Amino acid sequence: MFIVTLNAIINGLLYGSIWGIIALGFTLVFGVMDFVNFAQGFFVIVPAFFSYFLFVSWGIDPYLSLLLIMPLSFGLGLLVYKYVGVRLLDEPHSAHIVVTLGLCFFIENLLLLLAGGDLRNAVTSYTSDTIQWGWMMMSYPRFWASAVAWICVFLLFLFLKYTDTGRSMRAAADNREGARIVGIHVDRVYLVAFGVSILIAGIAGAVIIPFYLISPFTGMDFLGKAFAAVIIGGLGSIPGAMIGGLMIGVVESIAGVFFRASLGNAVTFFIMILVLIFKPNGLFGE
Amino acid sequence: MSRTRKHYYYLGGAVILLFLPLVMNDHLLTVAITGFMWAYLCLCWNLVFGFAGQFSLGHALFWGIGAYTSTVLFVNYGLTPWVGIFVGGLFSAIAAWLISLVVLRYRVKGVYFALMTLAFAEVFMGLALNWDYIRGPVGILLPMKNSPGNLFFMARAPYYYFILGLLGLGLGATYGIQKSKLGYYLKAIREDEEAAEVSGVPTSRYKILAMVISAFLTALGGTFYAQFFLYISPEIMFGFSSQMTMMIGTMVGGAGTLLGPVLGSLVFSFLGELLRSLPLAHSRELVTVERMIWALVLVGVIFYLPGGLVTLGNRVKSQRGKPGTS
Amino acid sequence: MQERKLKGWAGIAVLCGLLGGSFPFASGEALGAANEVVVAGVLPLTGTNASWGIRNDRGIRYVVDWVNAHGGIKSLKGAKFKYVSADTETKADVAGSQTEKIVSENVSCVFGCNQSPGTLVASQVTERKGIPLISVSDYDPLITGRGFKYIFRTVPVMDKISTSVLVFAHAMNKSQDTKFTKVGILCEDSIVGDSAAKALEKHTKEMGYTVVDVVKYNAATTRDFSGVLSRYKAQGVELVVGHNRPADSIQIVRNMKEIGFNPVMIGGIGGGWVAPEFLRNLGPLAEGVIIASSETPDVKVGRFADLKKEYEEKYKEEMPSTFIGGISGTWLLYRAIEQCASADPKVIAKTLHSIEVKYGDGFYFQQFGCKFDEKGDNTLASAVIFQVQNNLRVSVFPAEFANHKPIWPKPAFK
Repeated sequence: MFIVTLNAIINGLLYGSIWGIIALGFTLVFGVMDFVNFAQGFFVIVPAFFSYFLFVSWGIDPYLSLLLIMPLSFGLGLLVYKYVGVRLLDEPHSAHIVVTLGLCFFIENLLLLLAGGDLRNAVTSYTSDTIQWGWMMMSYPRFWASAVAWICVFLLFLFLKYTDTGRSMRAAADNREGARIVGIHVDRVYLVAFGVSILIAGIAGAVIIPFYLISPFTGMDFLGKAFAAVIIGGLGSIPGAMIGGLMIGVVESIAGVFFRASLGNAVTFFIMILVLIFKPNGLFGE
Repeated sequence: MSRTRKHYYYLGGAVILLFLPLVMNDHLLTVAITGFMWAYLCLCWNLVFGFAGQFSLGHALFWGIGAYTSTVLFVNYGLTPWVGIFVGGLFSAIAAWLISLVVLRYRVKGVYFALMTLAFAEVFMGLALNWDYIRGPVGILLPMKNSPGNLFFMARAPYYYFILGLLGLGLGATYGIQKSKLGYYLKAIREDEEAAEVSGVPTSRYKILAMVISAFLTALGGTFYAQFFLYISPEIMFGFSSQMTMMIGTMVGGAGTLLGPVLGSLVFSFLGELLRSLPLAHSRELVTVERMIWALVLVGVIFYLPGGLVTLGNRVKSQRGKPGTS
Repeated sequence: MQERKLKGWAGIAVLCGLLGGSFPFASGEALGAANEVVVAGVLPLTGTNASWGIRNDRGIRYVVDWVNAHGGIKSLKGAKFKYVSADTETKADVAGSQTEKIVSENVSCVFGCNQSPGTLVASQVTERKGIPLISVSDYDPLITGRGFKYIFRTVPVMDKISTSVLVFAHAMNKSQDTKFTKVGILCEDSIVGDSAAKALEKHTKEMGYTVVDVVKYNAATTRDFSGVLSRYKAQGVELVVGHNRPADSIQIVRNMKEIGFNPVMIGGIGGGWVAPEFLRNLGPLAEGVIIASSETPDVKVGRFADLKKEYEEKYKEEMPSTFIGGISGTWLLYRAIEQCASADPKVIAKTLHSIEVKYGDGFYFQQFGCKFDEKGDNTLASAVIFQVQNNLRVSVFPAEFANHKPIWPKPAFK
């Protein structure tokens, strides 16, 4: 039973890395420009569908499709910012939420129209493979998806710390007016931040399609996970988003082993409430 | 324009509404009943969002508590829903009060408040799904029979008048709050909460009051849903779908106004029904496209008509009276 | 001033609604014209159950078109079927309001709703109006448990179907001299899942087998079953049974492989296990999975084989159970109308209560034929067991009807 628990924890960590990376996109935009993007989950499944389409039409492996998906997602992010994000910057959060929910609705139905309501999954040759190291057993595609997720996190970290744009982003996040005065092109920074956020979502979409079943309705599921992760970890905190994601993954995994699985979700939200009460800025929030 | 003229319009409208069941068939009555029910629920949500400026994402919680309370009391103890409906309202009000205490004590605001209310609704749904006493995920089926003493009718017209009554109650409550001291203070809070506090307005007390009243009224709507549709489940009652409907109607129609939520909600309901009854609508592709258009309309209204549909009457787009959250 | 404009807009909205609602009458569609019998399908064409609803809809249309192309309803002087469909959006309340709308259009019979809550609400409307509602896919016992006179269900109640997997296991144990009796139940928490879990638990105990555990998970939020399945593996569960939706049934089998869990039997009951996505996404992993359903994919009766080929060519997928349900139900209705020579819903309902349709007659392919009792349950409805062998579903039980021998125990995952 002990080994079962350990493996469950590992599985939870793998899933959690994915939730974390989705939450990361969300929190990046919130931290830098105070924008609540309820549609983050949909920016994950659109590339996922696209990757699926490339796979079933031409046999292109999802990881290979990343070459195409990354620039496309980034571009999509730029577009969304230009036409939607920019107008909402000065509006209250409620407006962001309603507009991005409208976007969710739009994308969900568009996908329904184009792809139908069935669940899809890129059944690659390695979809059901497992990695076995002694007592450890983990899913091969999940392992690689997490690996890619962590590589992203690392690259993002480097970007924010060592590049000019990255540093400008952090400055703008801390103080918009101040940054502007100092000469930072705040609008351009926001543009890039948004693009990066959607880029991350796109990467997540491509790497989960080998093992995760996606339908047009899955977007909302991802949103719920992203929230919980972001709240627990702290809105605006990048390490927080990942930690939050990992925690959720593990909690749900353990809940499955020891309790009735349907409590997993309630437990996650309950923790979210506790965090909001006692540490409203999250475990790592500013 | 004189006030008497305005009153004549209202009176005329009310008379038409009262006599509609005589000319409408069952299907249209059902459409009207459903439409008015959502309009009523939008009004309830408006009290918290439009008036108190609090973005509650978990209002389904109160709706569900109302429905489940009256239903369980009836099914397990035979208590007539005419009484059960108020018990549901009471429980809901208590829940709202407790949540408000937590929220205010720990100063949860803005998007955090929104997510917290959502979290409460989700937790409740999780608990409800695992609570066998209320039948868990299977839900509860209410009997279909004519029993006016228990708020069950075979005909549709009695339900129509009931929801009309609720709608009147909702409008009355909104109007009453608008013109009262509570409304005055809520407006101050919504415009600038810190300034209000500094001027000595007991912001906490009034925010709680708005939340409690809203929760009570929303719960009444929940019981009505149960009595009319005769089937409730945790998924239906605590799920996000009802929240979406409450939000969209209010925000598109005009939050913070008296008739805005009603207008927004009715437009969505009736135009949706209109599209559904076109012969072409039998094709599911068209339904999906219709929904896409709705989504765009929603976004369009937020961008270009920030006061909501009620401001269509204005030539001058005055201040953006949209309630903010800090 | 502003308020007046408001009133104006509100009034316009209400008028639009009324006009919109009355469109069917205004548009001049000759609904219920003298030589037409109107039947309606209130089905989920969008929303989460859309894949069931769409295939059910195809089935109804198929038979409607067939009858119309072959001389219509002879006892009504060649009257043709007119099919009207409405989308429930997989929402119970929409199912109710759409049914209200449909029944105001002179309908003789309604099919619905591929979603137990939806069928429950819709049947309230049809019962009030005295119009028969035929469900060809919903297993929930509540549907026929309310003393209604206008509800008919062609598929077996969940009780019957769920026991069939256990009956199969028992038969295998006896014939192969094995003693696999540890049962793990894993169901989604929907109405049907819940009743499946209860029925399974009860029958496991009645058979003297051991209920190791019963887990009902929240389908909307559960995506991974490794935790639960690891526990089952550690507890020595041999027979895993349950009712689950498509995503879950696929994930359950995948997770089992991932954790190296090789139960003797994976017994799926209807739902996702019979969906085309199941085989499509699992491929060789599905080998040996046992599935209980009221339709089998490889029967050798009547024109089934030809129909199957036709469907597969046209829609490029396996012929699914909901399609079979749709054609069976519509054929049943056709037979009933031929018999009573009337389009009056009350007369049709009465005929439905007395008629008997044989398995394989025309397009009736739900096992084993149809004869309703006074509650609306089909006394002839039975479950059959099929197994995935070489990527095909083949019937393996009961023996007198099966086309293949079952593989027991289930081969280990490669």
